[in-house]
Amino acid sequence: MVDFATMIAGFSDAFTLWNLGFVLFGVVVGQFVGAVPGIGPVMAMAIAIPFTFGMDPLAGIGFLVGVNKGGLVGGAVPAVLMNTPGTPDAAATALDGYPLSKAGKPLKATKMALFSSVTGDTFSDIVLITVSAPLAIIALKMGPIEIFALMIFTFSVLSGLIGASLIKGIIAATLGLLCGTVGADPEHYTPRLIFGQFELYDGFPLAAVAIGMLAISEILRRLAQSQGRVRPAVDLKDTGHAADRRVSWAEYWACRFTMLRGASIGTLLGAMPGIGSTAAAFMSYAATKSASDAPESFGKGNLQGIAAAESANSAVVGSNLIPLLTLGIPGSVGAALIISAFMIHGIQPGPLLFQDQGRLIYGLFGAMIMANLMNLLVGQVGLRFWIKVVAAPETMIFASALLLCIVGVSLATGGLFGVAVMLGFAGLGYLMASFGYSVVIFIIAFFLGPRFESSLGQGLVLLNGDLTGVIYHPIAMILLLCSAASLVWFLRQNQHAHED
Amino acid sequence: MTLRKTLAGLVAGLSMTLASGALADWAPKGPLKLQIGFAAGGSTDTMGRVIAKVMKEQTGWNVIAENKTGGGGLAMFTGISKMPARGTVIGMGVNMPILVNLNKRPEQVPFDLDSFDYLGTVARAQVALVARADAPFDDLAGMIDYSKANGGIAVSFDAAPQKLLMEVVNAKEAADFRFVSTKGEAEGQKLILGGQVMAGFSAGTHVKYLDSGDFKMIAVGNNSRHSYAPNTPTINDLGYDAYVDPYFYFATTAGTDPEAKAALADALAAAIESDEVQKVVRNVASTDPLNLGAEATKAMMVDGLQNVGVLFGQ
Amino acid sequence: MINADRASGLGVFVLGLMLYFVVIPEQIETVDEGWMRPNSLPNVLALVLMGCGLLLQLRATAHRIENPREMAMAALYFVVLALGLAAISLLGFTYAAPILAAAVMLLMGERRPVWLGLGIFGTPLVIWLVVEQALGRVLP
Repeated sequence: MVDFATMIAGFSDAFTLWNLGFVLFGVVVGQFVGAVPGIGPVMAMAIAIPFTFGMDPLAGIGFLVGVNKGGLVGGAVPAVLMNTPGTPDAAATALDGYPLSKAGKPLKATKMALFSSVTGDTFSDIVLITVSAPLAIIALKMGPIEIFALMIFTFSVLSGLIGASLIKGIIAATLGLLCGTVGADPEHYTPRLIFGQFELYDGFPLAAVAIGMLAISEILRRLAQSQGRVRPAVDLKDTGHAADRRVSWAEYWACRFTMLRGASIGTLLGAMPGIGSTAAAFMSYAATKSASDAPESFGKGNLQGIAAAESANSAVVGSNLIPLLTLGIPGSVGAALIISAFMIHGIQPGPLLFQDQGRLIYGLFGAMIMANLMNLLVGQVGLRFWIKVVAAPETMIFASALLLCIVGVSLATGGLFGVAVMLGFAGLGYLMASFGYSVVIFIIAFFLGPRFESSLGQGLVLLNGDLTGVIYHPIAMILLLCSAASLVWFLRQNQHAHED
Repeated sequence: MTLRKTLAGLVAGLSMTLASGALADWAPKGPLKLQIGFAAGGSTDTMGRVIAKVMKEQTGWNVIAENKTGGGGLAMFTGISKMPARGTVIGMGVNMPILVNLNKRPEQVPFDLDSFDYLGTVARAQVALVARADAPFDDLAGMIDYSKANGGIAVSFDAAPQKLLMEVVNAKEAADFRFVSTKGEAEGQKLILGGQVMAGFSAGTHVKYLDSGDFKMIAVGNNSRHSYAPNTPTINDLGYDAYVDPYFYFATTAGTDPEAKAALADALAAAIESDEVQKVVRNVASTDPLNLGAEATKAMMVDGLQNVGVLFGQ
Repeated sequence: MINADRASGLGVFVLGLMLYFVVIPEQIETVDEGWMRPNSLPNVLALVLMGCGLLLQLRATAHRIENPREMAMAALYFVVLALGLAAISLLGFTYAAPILAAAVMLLMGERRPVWLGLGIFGTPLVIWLVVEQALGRVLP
């Protein structure tokens, strides 16, 4: 392991003015691109990577980490203020964030998102810095069979989000899984359901589906409702109470268990490559809702809901670095881009990383902690700026948001084909919402679908087709039993809520 | 629009005068797109982005790297084959997925090898069959015996040709290998480290695990041995008549003006020779850069298609 | 009026039927080896859709389409966006973006010249500056 002197040397590297400057610059860029619909931190990182070649490794990677972390905070902004999340994990934040904004408390809602995001992020960074090695060993034990069981467990917890009709929930999930099967199949690489469009070989582009379903369909609804009346995009009735513009310590403290649960879920899921922040955010939200004494207050502007979603999705980003730094395996696109930046500098993330590059890694840890602090400070200023922006007339905001989504998706997917996909999914999202099908369940199923199918296929090969072999996989068995239990629990609770 | 043209002209003119002048008169009209057939963050992407940056610095052209994912480059090359041949786009892909599709479903692929002008290569991927260091076998023969004795073992792969290669072995030895498909080599490495599969294929990033003593190398998938492991035989050496040789290569639309084509190939070659790209390729692909040049790249593709035919003929 | 759930359930049932008997056999290659074949999961999903579509006929909720007029307006904006996309592919973003912005803003009822000017010319200009000049990317 790394000796103490190297740790201190690494940490102090992070605190040079030069490196701090890059981290700060990254955070500012990240918060900005995260908040602008359609662009997002992943694209900003991809563009920035070649330029890190000429930089000192710590400055370059610190900058990318700053962008990644800043993007988390920025991503919550459009979700909370306009109900137009740019990424599916922020959709969980919108569930309670947007109602709170609409009630005239946008600053309170965004601040809660900021505080819980930084809290979850810091939690997972601390886990990364202190106990990444044992967590990485657990992640290695999670083979395809265990991952499949984990996905079943995820779905069972998410059943807590199904509304009035179980059947309609299943239909939404099935449609999502179906859209996820478009493209090359995971085992034989044959094209499926692509109708001659080779652009679809890798499936529907994720950015196009997420932005179409979540942001554009909501913009369509708001456009249709406008009916010639000119209003600001967000009605900022100032209630006159200072308490509605801030989050008090008591309010923050009241969410401590929610944030702890969210951060733990996010950290655990983040350490296992392939599940991702969307599932974490919604699992945390569903768990918080069901544990609450007043589940009916969720979806109406409950601070606990914001805290649950943001603490979980932000925790994923820190712990995504656990498999990356210890094993060399990226857990997400953002993490893959950080690997790419390491490799440009001739550093191979993997088993020897701590031994060979201890000082750099502890420098990175220092930069991560500083990025969290800067997120907090930059966010305080940035949130006020965005609230000013969305106070502009909705005609201006929505027309601009549409153009930004078109440009962002075309840049992210490499052309107008992605924009057409986005538009198609916007129509589907609007129809589904109008007919009372959960768009959120669709999106989660769509994102998890490919992983679900591939881990099922891999698991079947490993078990040689004999499903009873699962009993020799204790972790998978425990997860499957938990799934059954939580499914029963959630469905009974759900039925109960709709009988009242 | 006129402002845009004026500005663009100004920028182009300025950069032309600043350009080194080593590269002849031809310059792309407008930006030159370097399309990368794989997602952001992978090894192809990393090399492609640095090459684009160096080309931009060396030529003064506005070189833009962008990802066009889909079918391991199939979607990107389909797009390029349909573009007018203006010399404003270069595709960077890996030959194997293209060749496999051309062999397996030629009627559904909207292009053939003649749809492109080939510009060069940057490296050959180092395909290796690896196992965890504590695996109960050290070479392919031992692995076959172990698999036979234990009712078949699981082997991970992340590209169809790797599976086909092992099926050649399976067919000859009745080794009973079962194949676990993974998305990317990192996932395969995780399965090997975690003990879910006994062995698997990797294409360059396994070297760090060899250095750390976590992995051992069972055999080479390429047609020749790897410089970092000269004692490990190729599967071909061991008497199985098959190999996979994935090249990272560049191509543009067929029918591009020869002057433009030469300028693009020269610009790529100059970029690949730069210290920056050399270093990045070594870091990312664990091998020395290898630019076959325009002519030999085309020959490599034609021969490759034949070799893939052999693989599938089994 | 027809119950919205029965209508959408019928749509889902027909979709499943079409997928199972027409689309999947045509659009997915048949592979005869392995535990999971390319069409395994899609076929299961199509069957689930058929089953749920039918079940929804029996267990329909009281869900109603809130506002048919609003849906018609949304469809109109959808068409505007689709035309805007077509215009971008024909004319390029630089020309089409102001037209699209103008169409959306006018349709929404914006008449104030300052805001119209900002939305129609300001936003596309800022996007152009950021994307083409600062980032060096190409607009569609």
